[in-house]
This record gives sequence, C-alpha cells and structure tokens, in this order.
Amino acid sequence: MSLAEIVQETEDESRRSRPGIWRQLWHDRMGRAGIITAIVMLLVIGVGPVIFPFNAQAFGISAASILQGPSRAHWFGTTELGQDVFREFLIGGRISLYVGGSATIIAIVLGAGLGLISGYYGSWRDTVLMRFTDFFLVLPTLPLIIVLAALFGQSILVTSLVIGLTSWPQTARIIRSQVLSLRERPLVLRIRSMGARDVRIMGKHILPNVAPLIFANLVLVLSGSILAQAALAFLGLGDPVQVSWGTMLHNAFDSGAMSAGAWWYVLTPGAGIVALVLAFSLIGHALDRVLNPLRRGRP
Amino acid sequence: MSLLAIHELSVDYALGGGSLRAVDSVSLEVEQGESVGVVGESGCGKTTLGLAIPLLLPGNATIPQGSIQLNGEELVGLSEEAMRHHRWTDVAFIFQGAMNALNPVQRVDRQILEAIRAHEPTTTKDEADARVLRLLDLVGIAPSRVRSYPHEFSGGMRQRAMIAMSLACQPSLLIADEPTTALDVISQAQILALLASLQRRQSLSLLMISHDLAAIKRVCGRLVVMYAGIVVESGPTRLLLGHGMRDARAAHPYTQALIRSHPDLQGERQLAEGLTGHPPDLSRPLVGCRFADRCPKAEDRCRTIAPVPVTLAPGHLASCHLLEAT
Amino acid sequence: MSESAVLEIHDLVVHFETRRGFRQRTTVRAVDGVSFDISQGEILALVGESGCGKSTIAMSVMRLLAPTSGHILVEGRDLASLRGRELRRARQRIQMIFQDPFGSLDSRQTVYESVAEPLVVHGLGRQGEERRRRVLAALDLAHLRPPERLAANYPHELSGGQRQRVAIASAMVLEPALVIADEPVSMLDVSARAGILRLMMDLRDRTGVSYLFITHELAVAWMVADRLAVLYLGRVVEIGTSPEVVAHPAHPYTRALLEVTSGDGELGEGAVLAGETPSASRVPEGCRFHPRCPLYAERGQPEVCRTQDPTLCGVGRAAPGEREHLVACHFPDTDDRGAP
Repeated sequence: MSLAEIVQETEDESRRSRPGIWRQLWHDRMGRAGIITAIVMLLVIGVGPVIFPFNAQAFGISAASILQGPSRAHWFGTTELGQDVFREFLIGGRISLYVGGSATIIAIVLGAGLGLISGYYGSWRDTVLMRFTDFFLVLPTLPLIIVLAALFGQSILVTSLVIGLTSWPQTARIIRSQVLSLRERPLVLRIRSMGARDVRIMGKHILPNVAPLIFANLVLVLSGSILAQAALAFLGLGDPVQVSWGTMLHNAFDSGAMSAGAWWYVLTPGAGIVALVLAFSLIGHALDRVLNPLRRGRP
Repeated sequence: MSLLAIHELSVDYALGGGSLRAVDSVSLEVEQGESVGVVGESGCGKTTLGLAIPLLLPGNATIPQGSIQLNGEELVGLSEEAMRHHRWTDVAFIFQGAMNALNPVQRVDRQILEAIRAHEPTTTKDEADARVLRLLDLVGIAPSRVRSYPHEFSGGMRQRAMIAMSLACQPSLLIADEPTTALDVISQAQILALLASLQRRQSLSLLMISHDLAAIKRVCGRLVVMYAGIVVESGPTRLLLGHGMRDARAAHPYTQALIRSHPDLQGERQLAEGLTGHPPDLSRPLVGCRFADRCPKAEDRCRTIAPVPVTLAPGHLASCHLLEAT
Repeated sequence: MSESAVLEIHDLVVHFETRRGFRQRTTVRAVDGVSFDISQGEILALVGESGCGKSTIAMSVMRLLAPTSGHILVEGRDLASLRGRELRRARQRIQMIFQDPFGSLDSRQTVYESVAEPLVVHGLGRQGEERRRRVLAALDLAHLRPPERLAANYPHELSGGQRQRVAIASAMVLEPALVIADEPVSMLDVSARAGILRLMMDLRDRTGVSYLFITHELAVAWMVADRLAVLYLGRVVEIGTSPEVVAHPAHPYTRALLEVTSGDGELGEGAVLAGETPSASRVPEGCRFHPRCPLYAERGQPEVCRTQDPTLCGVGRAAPGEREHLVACHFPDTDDRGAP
C-alpha cells in the first residue's frame, strides 16, 4: 500500500468514529480558545453599539475633555477630539470587521474559483491561470493602494479591494493543489467515465470535498485581512470618515497621544485588533490540524 | 525455552469515548529457528498483535493484561528506553508498506549504515560498510546497485532492501507484516522465496503476518489463524493446509472457509466459496463464539458460550464447540 | 471477429511522451499494439502485472485518455469519431468499476445518490418515481437487500464488499452493454471476493452484459472469465479460453505466472522467474520477454528472440465453435510439457 493509501484508509477509518468538525475543534485547546475569543469579540462588536448608543455628535465641549483618562463617564477615556474612546472602539470594530470580511470574500471567491478551475483542467488553462496568479502574488499592497486611493479616493471599498486582490493567490494555490489530488481519485474518474459534464463534477463532487479546506483558509485569510486593514488604516491610507480601529491608532499617533501619555487611546483599539486577529488565527490553525490527517499524529 | 512466548495478551484501543479490544487473550509461541504465520482478514487483530511485540503500538493503545517474553525477558511494562535496546538487535519489525518507508533522499546503503550505527555505535566504518554489502548481497541486491536511491529501485527491490535493513543487527526474531502486499505476483514469490531461504540459512525465527494463506504456506512451518481478536486455530501448516489445499485438515469452520476461498487452479474450474457477512463489532460486548453469525455449522450453544481451545493432535489446537464432542 | 462484438480493439497503441530533464525525451510504451474483441455476454480477462498496460487499455476504452493510434469500436461504433451529445449517449453503453470501493464512491453521498448519479448525469428517469424505481432495482440486482434501507446509508457505514456492490449497482443502473472492471476484488478480503465475483457472473447471466475484467491475479481470472488474455509490457502474449490457457499454457510467462500461483510448498529461489519487469520506457528489442525467458536461456539464446518481435499465432487446439488459443512466442509450448 502506498503512503497515500495508508493515509486514506486512516482517514476513512477515523471518519467512522470521528465526531463532527465543530466538536473536534472544541476539544482542541487552540480551537477552543479561538472560538471563545471570537464569540466574545463578535458579541462586543455586534451588540455593543446597540447596548451603548452614544450620541454621534458628542464631541468634547471644552479643552478639558480632550484626551482624558478612563473615568466613570468615559470608561476608556477620550480621544483628541473629546470623543468617547469606548464608543469609537465599538463602531470601529464594525468597520474593521466589515472591511476584513469583504476583502476575505473577494479573496476566497477569486482564489477558490481559480484554484478549482486550474486544478481540475490542468494543461494550458492551469499554466495561464497560474501565471496570472503569480502576477498578483508579487503585487505589492502598499503602492497598489496608494495608486488606487489617488485614483478613486480613500474608502473602505478601495481598501477591501486591495486586500482582497493581494490575498487571493495564496488561496488559489492551496485549493489548486487539493483539487489536483482529488481529481485523480477513483471517484472523479468514475464520474468522468460516466460522461458527466465538467461543471457538474466540479460543483457536485470536487467542491464539497474541498469545502472544509476552503473554510479553514477563509478563517486564516479573514484574520490576515483584518490585520492588513488595520495596518493600512494606521498608515493613513484607510477611509478617514469611517473610523476603524486602525484609523483610531492612526489618529492617536497623529495627535501625539503617546507622548501625551494617553495610553488608553492606543491600547484599546490595539487590544481589539490583537484579540480579533488572534481569535480567527487560532481557529484557522486548529481547523487545519483537525482537517489534515497527516498532522493528527496517529499512525 | 521458546524464543518468543506470548501468553494471554490483550490489547485495547481507546476510541473517542469507548474502548475496543483488538486482541483478546492471545497466546502463541515461536521457537528458535521456526517460522510462524499469523493469518486472518482485515480487522482480526493480527497487525496489532505484531506491533505489540516490539511495543510499537500507537498512543491510544494499552496492554491491560498478558505477557510477552523474548528469550525469557518480559517485555510488557518495559520503559521505552529499555525496549529500544531490544529493537532491531533482538527483534526487528517490517511494517506493512515498508518499502515506501525508505527515506527518498538518502541512498539505500547509507540508510542501512545508519541503522547499524544507531544500534551498534562501536562498529567501525569499515566493518559497517562491509556488513551493508553482505546484507544487500544476502537479499539479492547486486553490489553495483547498492549506491542507488529508493526511487531507482522497483517495489520488489525496495522490499528486499527493507529486509536487509531489518537484519542489519542480526536480530533473533523478525516480524514481517504483510511483506508481499502491493507487489506483483512474481515479485511476491521472489520475496517469499527469499524469506524462506533466509530463514533456513540464517536460522532466523520469523513471525509472518498476512491475509494471504498461500503466501504463508510457502514460508511458515506453523500457522495461527486469528478472527475478531482471538486465535481460532493453530497448528502445523502442512497438516492444516495439506497439499494444494486439497487434503487440508483444518478443523475450525473459519479456517476451512478461508481455505475454500482460495481458488485451486489444479482442481475443477469453479468459483471459490466465500463468506457472507462481516466480523463482529469489537467495540460492543461479545457473547458466545465470535464466528457464530457467519458459521455454516453454528448451533444454539455457539451463540451463548464462547468455545475454549481443544487439542486435536500434538501442536494442533482449535476453538470450536463442534470439536469438543468426545 | 464475431458479428455481435460489443467491443473491438484493433492495434491499440498508447505511448506517453515524458520529458526528463532538459533534453531527454523518453517514450513510455504503455500499450504497444493490442487487439482483441469481446462478444455479447462474454467475460474477457486481461491478466498481467503492474506496468503491462491493462489499466491504460481500460482508460482508453473509456476515453479517459486518448490513444496514440488504433481503433476502439463499441457496438460497432468508433468512439473517436463521436462528439458532444452523441459521445455522451455512447458513454452510457460502457460503465466502469474501480479497484478501490471506498475511493470510487463520494463519501458525502448516500448510496441512493451514488447509484442515481448516472441517471442524473444523462437526464434519465425524469419523473422522481421512475428514477427511484430504477435505483432500487439496481440495488436489488446487486444483492443489496433490502434496497430501501441500504439506500439511505453512507459509504463509511458499509463493508468493503457492500461498497463494491454499490459501485456495481451504479454501473448497472444504465443497463450498459459492457462493464470494465479494473481489479474489482483485489482490495477485498478473500472471503468477500467470491460474493462479488458470483454477483458479476450472475449479472452477466441475467442481463447479458459483457465484462472486460482486469486483474493481476490469474486465479481470479480463471474462475470468472470465459477467455483470458495475458499481457506483458504492453502486448498480449497469450489469449484463449480460461480452461485452455490454464491447462495448456503455451507462453513461458504464462507458465511462470501459473507456477507461482498454483504451485505449493517450498519455492526454491530458482523456480521463480528472475529479475523484474523492465520499464515500459525501455522495452527490450525483439521479443520483449527474452531477457527473463527461461526458454531463451535453455535454447542457447537464439537470435530470433533477440531480433524479431513475435506475433500472435494459433496453437491449434480449438474445438469447432470455440475461440482460438493464440500465443506470441517463437518457441511456444504446444505439447503438454509445461502444464504445472
């Protein structure tokens, strides 16, 4: 038996007695930590602004309300404009997640789609698509967003687009390699020999078997996108109107918050970014461990 | 004293919430210079039994009872450190599909060299080199081919290399798990002939695990038949399988069914018989004879009481109620 | 060539060009000129070890790969000349069963869905009721009973033998003329094999379907096939009815296969054929078997074996009405000397 067959048989046998993917994720320490953190963060971001509806126009009235430390009135202090940091945090979270999410969708749809076609058809289609992918792989994020921002203005749309366009090659490669191996499985040969159309084979037999991998990749791309968005916003390339956590950090540094000792202004969005990115990262890696039989450590 | 004496050995696997007894109170002995074949179909526990001897069981396996004695020394309960001394030098194991376990980026002769150096570090380079050449020659690999990489070898040659590697430190016992699966028919015969000749020439003791009765017949003097974790019959191969399976004297219905499943090209051209159904689920409690569901001769008592081994002739035992008559 | 031939292969050649390194281009001669035919209701076995080309032949017949040259006629029609809808319609007539019962089923589909797949692909049995009837009938035909209960199972809930039956049911649901079975029992336990083989023969008796049965085990071929063809390195070296070939093997390779399969007791190392099958990229000159052939050595290395590629010739044993026994050897064994 070849190693691949041994792996397949181990996989098949364990599938018989294996609990669902979510249950397994829960058992994994990393996965559990990630899930809990993600749920907490999502609750905070999602429900927070509803529970704590702040007046959007509540700018500071006097100089005394600028860059104030945490107090009863302002749990996390105030910004350089006298806004409540907590409120900004709650709203900023939504923006960060929204951009991260949109970028991820672009990346996954493009990446999985191209990976699927490339891996399934092979030959010239594969070559062409892979060269196309290589082109995007080497595209540098920063210059791209600067150019696009100059052309179309700074907005969350542009940010999402840029992050999406520079993240999809990774996904494409991973999916392509999985599809390449699935394609040689007796199952696919059998369906092809039946005379099924390619679209049917890809949609009904290959895609569902690649879905778990796509999902694991999605989670990791999400975590990366959120971080990328924060970084771009921090550099001042994000949407100045729709304030995200990255923008908050940008504003904080811009207004000299650090030198003024206003640590609450930096720590709050910073901790938020770390928590969110870490959560999805943990889930993504735990998923990879759960789905990959070779890494599970059983003979 | 037997070279290998397994007494009432059981092996349990922990599986998400429950446990499964893959090997249940199995006893077997291998004498010095003897070759014993363990035959059974998938899931009967033969591989688990084989892995238990050099204590190479996976992490979720435990040995709740029984003993394994090698040259009189008890192996069950030994620490990993202590067991390592025995592996390769006293007992060597060839895994299923081992021919694919060779390191693809290292030359074959170097891999064997490494094995020797790892277990007998006091060997000088010259001595070790000479041994490698001798070993490969022993298994029929010409000196001109020893410096090749695994992918330059065919499946049969890789298996020979694995056999050579397992003999590197002159173990007294060689355990081979399905040594001929995945090989072509002719290569299979070549490997079996090699094992038989090695066994004779080096007075190597061999424990061969296989699902292929015909393969075991060519190499092993004694036969142990396993089903659903237990030994159902054991005895001399010649007696149990006869000549060309025709005058087989195997007594257990399962062994008989196995024999009938093998086509006899010298007999009448007909479809060999098979067995319907499948082995019992070992994670559930078992009552009575484990083969009762599929046994053509099953009686009522077979489903309620588990049979015990009965001696039918010197060295020939079988566990079946129908044999307990007198 | 019989008029009711379901499959006719004429001089099939499948060569693969591979590029090793920058300049070296080697040709892998996987199938090097094979011809045979299968009549309606006949089971023909292709027997050979790995690298002999048997699986490549199967893939060519299924048009999963394109042959280099030669003709493949299914029910008299050359598949190479068909396109689009006609090709898809022709595909209904040939179905395939694979070696790995688990790998060939979609683990995410129930048994019902797997067996219904061919119907869905070809848009047959449009009304749900009709389709359901056909699926259950196929399951029943494959001895999967009760069909309604088993239809709801997933592959991992079934035994190896049952999974293979599902694959068979899925192949039979379109009522094909020819089923290609590529090592259908090699991954099954010995005790489960007989059931599958019996099923296949039963299906042939009941529906008149023909089989191209591919296996590396001569004994299995002998049990189930009407005729068998022994392949070596891309060529048919012997072909005839099963009882005839096994009782009176004319080619030394066939004899070697028989000896290791049916011989028993201790095997002296000399009794087994020495060496390994050469790679299909380096096919020996003349008779491709001569480097390993015991006859070649025995007869003092005759030049004809080194220089001339033997063609299939009659061994002259066929009774009237029976298919001929052919062998490709310069010194075929036409007496009973070689029978084990």
